[in-house]
Amino acid sequence: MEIDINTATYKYNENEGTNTKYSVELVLTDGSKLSVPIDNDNRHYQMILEWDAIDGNAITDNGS
Amino acid sequence: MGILTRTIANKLGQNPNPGVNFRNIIINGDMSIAQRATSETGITTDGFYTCDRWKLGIGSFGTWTQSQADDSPPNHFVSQCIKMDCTTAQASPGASTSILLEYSIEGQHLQEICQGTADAKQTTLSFWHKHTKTGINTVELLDADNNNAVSGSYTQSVSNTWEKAVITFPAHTAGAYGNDSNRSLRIRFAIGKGTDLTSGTLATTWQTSITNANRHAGQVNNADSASNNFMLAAVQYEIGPTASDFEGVPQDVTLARCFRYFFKLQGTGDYMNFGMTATNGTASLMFMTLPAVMRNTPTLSSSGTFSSNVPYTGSYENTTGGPSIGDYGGNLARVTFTTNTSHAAGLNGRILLLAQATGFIAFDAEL
Repeated sequence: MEIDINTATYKYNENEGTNTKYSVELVLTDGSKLSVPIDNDNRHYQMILEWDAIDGNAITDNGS
Repeated sequence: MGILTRTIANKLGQNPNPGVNFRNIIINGDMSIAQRATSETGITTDGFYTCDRWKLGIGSFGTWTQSQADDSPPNHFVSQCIKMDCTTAQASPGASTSILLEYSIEGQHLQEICQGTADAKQTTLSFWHKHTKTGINTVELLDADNNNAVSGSYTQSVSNTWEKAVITFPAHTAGAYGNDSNRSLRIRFAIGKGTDLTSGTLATTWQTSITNANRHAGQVNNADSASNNFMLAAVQYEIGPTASDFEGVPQDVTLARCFRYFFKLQGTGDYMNFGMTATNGTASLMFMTLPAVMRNTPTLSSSGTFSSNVPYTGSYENTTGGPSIGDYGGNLARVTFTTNTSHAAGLNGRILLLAQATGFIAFDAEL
């Protein structure tokens, strides 16, 4: 896989009143970071969903 | 729009649907654009490394250096190639393993092929190759919408010598390409394949039910020695049964077209102002106008230390974590940086990258 995910965390929209998940913050195993939009046509988001489907992996949701 | 007008619009980068009216459907077939890097070492995993739009697919197939190299076939309006340099060989690859260079195309850029209709057209792939390993190599067209595939082959006759290949693929009356911005066609240049993918008979007619053994039959292993190189240049994919001369496109036009898929702001080694911000608590919001409407909402990646200077005359404060992509529409993106200090809403300031030549912000909407 193109990206080797260490952690994934939902990021919320900063616009007042919206309070919606907008992106996923990734930390890769090499320490680098990506901000991935929640968009099914984005190839990185597709990879996150594949990663999330594996037992033991989960996208952290700390709330807004 | 007439042909001349269309051509002028294309050259000016004003065509909203580029790929269609250029004769060469491939963007950056001359390998002139490499926004990410011109060389990357120690490659063992998939990714986009150097030349824009060209992805390496690799699994347990040695270690490689990829570069945008100043080496090219003579007298062909190109001066560069994409070069794969094997640094750790894999002489006995696993049966299901693979290494390949891949170019992906949006469905809306393939509609003139009329695939999936009675009017479907043949297509022709032409390119120059210079490989250390002599023998047969294969290229596969993989229809990502319908999971159909067809393959072709070419031969490197003389080691480390530029040679031209032309492969014409048959028309396919089944399985239309989606008329959208998603990936519909993957052109896959094999570098090495395990026996699961090479042990059959090469599938030179479209396969609606893919037999893996027929996809790359006859493929040599370009990874069997750490002395091997694998180079491609002047890659052109066009409609019709013959290969025309390679279509020369000014580099600035190619760069403008590449921006649809990837855009990188690279640090200079000096302080670099990235944009104006407005504050909202610990969020420092930067609004960026990108040079093109990207294919879809991009992934944002970054490296380096970004500092928030709010208000503009105030003190610098390094941001924490990486910036995140926010709302995206048209070619406008909101990028959010996080500061330790909470600021009143609406303060203006700037985001700047400290003096780091390796720092960057990149937007990635590749297929």
